[in-house]
Amino acid sequence: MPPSALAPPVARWNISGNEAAGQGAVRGGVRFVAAYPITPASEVLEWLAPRLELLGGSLLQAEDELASINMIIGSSFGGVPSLTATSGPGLSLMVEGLGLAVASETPVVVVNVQRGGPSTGIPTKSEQSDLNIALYGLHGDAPHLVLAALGIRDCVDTVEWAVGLAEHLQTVAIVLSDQMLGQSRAIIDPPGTRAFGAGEKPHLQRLIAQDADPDHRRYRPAPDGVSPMALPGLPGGMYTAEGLEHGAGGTPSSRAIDHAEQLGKRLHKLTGFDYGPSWAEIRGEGDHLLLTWGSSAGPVFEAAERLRDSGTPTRAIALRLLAPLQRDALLKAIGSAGSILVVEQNQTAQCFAYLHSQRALPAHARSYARPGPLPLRPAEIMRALIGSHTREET
Amino acid sequence: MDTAIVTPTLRAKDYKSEVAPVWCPGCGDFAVLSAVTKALAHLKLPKERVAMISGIGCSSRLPAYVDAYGFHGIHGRALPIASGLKAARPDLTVIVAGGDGDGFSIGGNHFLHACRRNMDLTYIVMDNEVYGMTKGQASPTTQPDWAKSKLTPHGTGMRPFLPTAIALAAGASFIARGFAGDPNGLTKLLVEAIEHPGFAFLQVLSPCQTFRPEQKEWKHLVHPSDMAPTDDPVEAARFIQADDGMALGLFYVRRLPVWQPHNQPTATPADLEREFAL
Ligand SMILES: Cc1ncc(C[n+]2csc(CCOP(=O)(O)OP(=O)(O)O)c2C)c(N)n1
Ligand code: SF4
Ligand SMILES: [Mg+2]
Repeated sequence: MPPSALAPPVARWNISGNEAAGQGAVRGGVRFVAAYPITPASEVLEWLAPRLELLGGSLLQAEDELASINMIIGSSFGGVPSLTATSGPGLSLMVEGLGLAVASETPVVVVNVQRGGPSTGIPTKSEQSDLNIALYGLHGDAPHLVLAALGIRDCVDTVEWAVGLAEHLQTVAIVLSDQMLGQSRAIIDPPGTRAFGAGEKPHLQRLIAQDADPDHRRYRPAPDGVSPMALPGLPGGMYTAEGLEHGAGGTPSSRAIDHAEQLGKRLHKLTGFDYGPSWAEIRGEGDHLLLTWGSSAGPVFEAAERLRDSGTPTRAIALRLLAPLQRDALLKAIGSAGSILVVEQNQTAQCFAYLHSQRALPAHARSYARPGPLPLRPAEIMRALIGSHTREET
Repeated sequence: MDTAIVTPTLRAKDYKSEVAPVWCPGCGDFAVLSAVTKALAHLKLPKERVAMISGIGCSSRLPAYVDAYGFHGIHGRALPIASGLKAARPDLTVIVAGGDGDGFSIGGNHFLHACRRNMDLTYIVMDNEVYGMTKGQASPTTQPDWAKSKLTPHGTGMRPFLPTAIALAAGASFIARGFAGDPNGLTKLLVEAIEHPGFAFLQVLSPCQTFRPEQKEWKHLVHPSDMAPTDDPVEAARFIQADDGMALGLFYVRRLPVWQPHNQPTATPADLEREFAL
């Protein structure tokens, strides 16, 4: 039998990265969104507004990003998976709220469609310069998830995965997309029905307290750090969600023992989780290695392929899960590569510095970082990898 | 809503949590807490259907002292947290509580937009004309010549914010003022505020013993409003502009469209995917 007789032809999709992020959100179960418009993220929100209504959810246009982030904290506290989308200036306004979500263990997702920065910067052009704020923008020790979509199609899967992870781990997920992904349109093979085809794994979802447990304590430490969340409406589950440090029951506490216990709970629930193989996309083998994150995956994969085709074995790794960094898996994937180049579209080599700070890069790794707005091109990446490498050898 | 729920009759004290308030002895906020629990008992609201939302400040500690669901958030953001919760969970009674600094200074923009959005929320502002929690700085409602704060040794030199006037101008549909020293009047206003369908703003004069001891005099200065509650914004504006800030009662109440999504699902995410197919 010819293969065509087995499976009906699957129609390809015509989709933009921002629409794909919206689709990933609703696939992940998001049913409430609070929104403040900003270029180049508005289309995520505009795509979601009418469609959330069809799904029985809703979108609320907020007065500013201070409101939008806190609105989704409120709706998520009420039990509804919630998300907002923004760009750099909006993310800057949201960070205090993100800290509240971390401390109160309220799941929320922020899709940050990056543009040129700092300040109002270059609103209509792409750059990967918000990694630092996504990783380090929150005050205090505030562990959270940072992910990056690797392409237009990947916006569906990465946002869906981020929603599932945030819900399951009761934390914040920041998903980094950018103008180039968000506002470009592509014809893609439809993504699988579950993020990264993760059919073998149980669906990631929030652990909700089911019965009135007289001993319910919202922030009680659990072996995996995830404690059941009572939702308003559950008799006997009443508690006050807290941004002040608290004891297991939620009562504010400045005792060292409570602080240590709750800090540990919030960190270990993230670091102890098994994220599986989706933390990165790895292609090819070779002594040369291109390492990147987010949308630079496109030109990097292209450069690696051209190098392989022309007889220079090159491996390419694109990080999708940036925090918590899967350091051991990354070091294993880097292996003994002789020439390593970390590629990203920002001035100060934010990812390179981050990987070094996590002791996740061999000392001989080099950086190729340059700001937007011009897109990274495979040829310049190849030159940066091979040009200097050749010089080193001569 | 599920009307079949049978609630055993609860008394006010049943709505008090086991957490001991951190407030100074004599703080006006104790009376507000009592009034909240009395109003909840009067309305026979099941505890688990009530959510108390606040920001940061002495007054914002109130949710933890009520045996209901609560969220003690960050400074100035109580209204957005409450709005998101109510949008997602219309079945809940959502009560927001906080201070004059929290609501009118750092959260001032949210106050304007919560008034005009007119969601079915009750907003209690315990106004002591000071930042109590941070030890006595001027707030937006402090008189311009109050010079007791080290931060503004000559006073603020700014006219105080008029919460009721601003609420009216911004479109609130219920505007009232109570006094911590008048617990019965306060409880009655709270009951009306919670029952009001829409955004109910209740300013409560709640003295700060510690940083504004002169507010002990308030009990001699407050007086009942001499105007019956009106639904006419022009009449309400005239009254509020002439008010000495010490009139107590319900000033303005009007039925206005309430912002509340009620969408029934008619599609699944898989249905939405068809729009992308070539
Ligand atoms: C973003 C931020 N800025 C400043 C503070 C410090 N702070 C805590 S409470 C408060 C003022 C509280 O005043 P009010 O809302 O009137 O409450 P009260 O203590 O008088 O009841 C301030 C400035 C903070 N917690 N967060
Ligand atoms: S400082 Fe003032 S407002 Fe704060 S608890 Fe004490 S009396 Fe009340
Ligand atoms: Mg105050």
